[in-house]
Amino acid sequence: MSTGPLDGYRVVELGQGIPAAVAGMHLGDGGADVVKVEPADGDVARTMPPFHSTGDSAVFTSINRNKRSLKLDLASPEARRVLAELIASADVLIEDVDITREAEVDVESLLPAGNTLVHCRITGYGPNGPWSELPGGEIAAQMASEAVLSLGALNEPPVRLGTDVASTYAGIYSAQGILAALYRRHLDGAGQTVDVSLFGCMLMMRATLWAALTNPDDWSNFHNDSYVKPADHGYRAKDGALMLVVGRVSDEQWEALLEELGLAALLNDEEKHLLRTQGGVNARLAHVTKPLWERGLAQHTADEAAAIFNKHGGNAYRINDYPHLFVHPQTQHMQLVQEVTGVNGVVPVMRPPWEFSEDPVSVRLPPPGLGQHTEQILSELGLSVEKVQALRSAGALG
Amino acid sequence: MRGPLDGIRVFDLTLIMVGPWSTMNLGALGADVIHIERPGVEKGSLGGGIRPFINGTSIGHITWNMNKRQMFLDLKAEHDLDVAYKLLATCDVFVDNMRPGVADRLGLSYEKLSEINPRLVYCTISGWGTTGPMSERTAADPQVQAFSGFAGNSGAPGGEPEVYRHFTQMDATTGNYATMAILMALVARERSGKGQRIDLSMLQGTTALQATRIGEYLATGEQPPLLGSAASSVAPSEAFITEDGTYLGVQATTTKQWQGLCKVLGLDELAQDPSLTTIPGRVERRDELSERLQTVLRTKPARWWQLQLGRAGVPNARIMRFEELIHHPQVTENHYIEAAPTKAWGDVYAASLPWTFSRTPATILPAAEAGEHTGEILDEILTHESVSVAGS
Repeated sequence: MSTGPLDGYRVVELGQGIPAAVAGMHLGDGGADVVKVEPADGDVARTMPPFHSTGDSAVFTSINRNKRSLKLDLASPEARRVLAELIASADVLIEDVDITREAEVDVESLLPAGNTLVHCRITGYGPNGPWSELPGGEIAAQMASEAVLSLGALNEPPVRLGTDVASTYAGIYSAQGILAALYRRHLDGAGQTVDVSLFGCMLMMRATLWAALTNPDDWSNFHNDSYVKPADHGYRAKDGALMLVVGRVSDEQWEALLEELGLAALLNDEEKHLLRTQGGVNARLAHVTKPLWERGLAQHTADEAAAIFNKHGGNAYRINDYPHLFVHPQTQHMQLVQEVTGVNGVVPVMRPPWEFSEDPVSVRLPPPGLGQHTEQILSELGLSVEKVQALRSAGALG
Repeated sequence: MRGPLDGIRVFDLTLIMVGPWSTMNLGALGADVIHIERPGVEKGSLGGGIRPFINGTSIGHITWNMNKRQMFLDLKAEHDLDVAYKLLATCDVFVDNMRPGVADRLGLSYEKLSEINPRLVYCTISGWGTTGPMSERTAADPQVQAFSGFAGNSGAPGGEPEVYRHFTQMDATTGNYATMAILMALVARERSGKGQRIDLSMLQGTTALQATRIGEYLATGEQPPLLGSAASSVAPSEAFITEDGTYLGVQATTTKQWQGLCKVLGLDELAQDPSLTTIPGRVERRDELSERLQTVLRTKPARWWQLQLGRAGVPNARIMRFEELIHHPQVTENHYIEAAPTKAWGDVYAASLPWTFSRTPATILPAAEAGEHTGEILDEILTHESVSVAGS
């Protein structure tokens, strides 16, 4: 039984925080042997709050399943030699350049001779251009890519996406680039460098808007209008809000929908017409029709209201918080989460986001303890117990 | 060579966005992606008919079907289905995002296609999963933002959660995970010689994206708080207003970045406070810190702070808009946004390459019109037979 589609590949993850960890985790999900190299005081993500009852960081455990941890003090020349040997044994190196630059690790000098390594470098803004050495950050990438203009309102303070999109997309696109380069290496035997940045990934993810802004036939649509619309909190029902799409509701369904929501008697003909023509979340005047919907929704819970829409040809869902999402029967059915036992006890983690028919993937390894696999990995590299002891005494292992 | 996947051929039976986005990636990476449309399809309905249009065609089609060739096939007609089977015998990848069961009913089940081509990687993308109480429901960005929790974790402090008004990210996110999985299966095929079936849903893809926030919930049982531009797990990571009214995003994750920030702002006492050298210490005192930083940042324009923070190696940025981005050297020198010259719609700023490969660069192929390459594809795969398809 294979560990997954990437069975047999070794990946070295040299970074801290989110982007490199996400890339490493997904390659680990795919079955690769991922070695996370951590400094003496550990990945900075280990300190990010909040914490599980085990004391483990929520951020750290969420992006470090399916990998092993090797602790090295990279200020030590001996440790750098070990790192060079580890990289020589690997197919892939994921490097967060902000981190290696800050630690003053000259990664180029650690790379093996020949050109078989796939070397992914993650930066804030990309390998070229005036900002190639400026470190990246989640809020910086969300602002530089103008993603914050799709939230909040004109003349109000910016609102970020609560999801760490820039850092996570950088990890996702890194994994893609690495896999494409690995595929090529099968054909011609040569590795290469793949550069990915938080900024570049955010610009890619907003590609549809760039097309919408190029030379559109009209401006009244949810892409072009997104810059001037007010903050969209969804449609308030009794106990929460929902999102609704009504574009496929037929005329007969429409009457029944208004009736069951209790709106038939509450709206005049003009209001009903407005609702029929501008009633969906994507409509130009959605913010004008929203209060009309809400007159009816006030009489129902969000779940009841969603059920009424869905019965009459609409498509509506509660704006879930995580407590609602994770008790929902579909979420439970999909088994998105499983418990694993790490060095500090049991922690829940998410499962890989896909299923493969021939090389099934799973959570094989819990998020590792700091340096948990140091001896094991050094032994695999052929270092004797005495040599490892000597490295430890010299402080090379942190 | 068109990129690292040069030589790979993709049978692209995808529509609207989540599937097209995944195959668009494969095309940028160099695969020959053949996007199938029904003969007689109305121009206005391409790309889901998502507005705005350019010269009568949806930007959905123009953006999400970059890097592909376009072919007409009427898969409900036996003759065209036969052509599809012949084409699929030459393909490496099949992708669809129709509702569960539709591909099977068309005669394009994994069982059938893997018989024709055992090396085929078959990826099927659903909204909520192929089984379970919600599996039959349709899924588009607004609904997935709502259900998956994505819209639940953004918003102004003390307010209600809000939706991201760029209604495309749930599709693009899931499409990216599909691309990743397809690449894994292609790598695995080099070892095993066999293709396989990949299943993923928008629910899985979009919750995977939210890993760090969902991690907070799994740790505490509570919803992460709404913090405006600030973050729950790092401080500072927030937008501050500067003297000229411009907002500046500033973040300090590492100790060195924190020390650099304090130095630039002249806040030595904060730099020396040992309880602030750790992230939990700074998160604990986020509000107080925000106020201290804001007081100083308000005293000079954004440009000044950008220069100083840049020198000190502190992550920072202000908002840049489309008109500035498309000409900015950081964008152009990395080919992050480029105008793709299309025949039917002029130059379109839709092209973007998130990866920079040193040896086999990814490339952009501007979008084409539906069915545009039908004849040429038939010629390539069926030269020894006399075959035509409806509408070609």
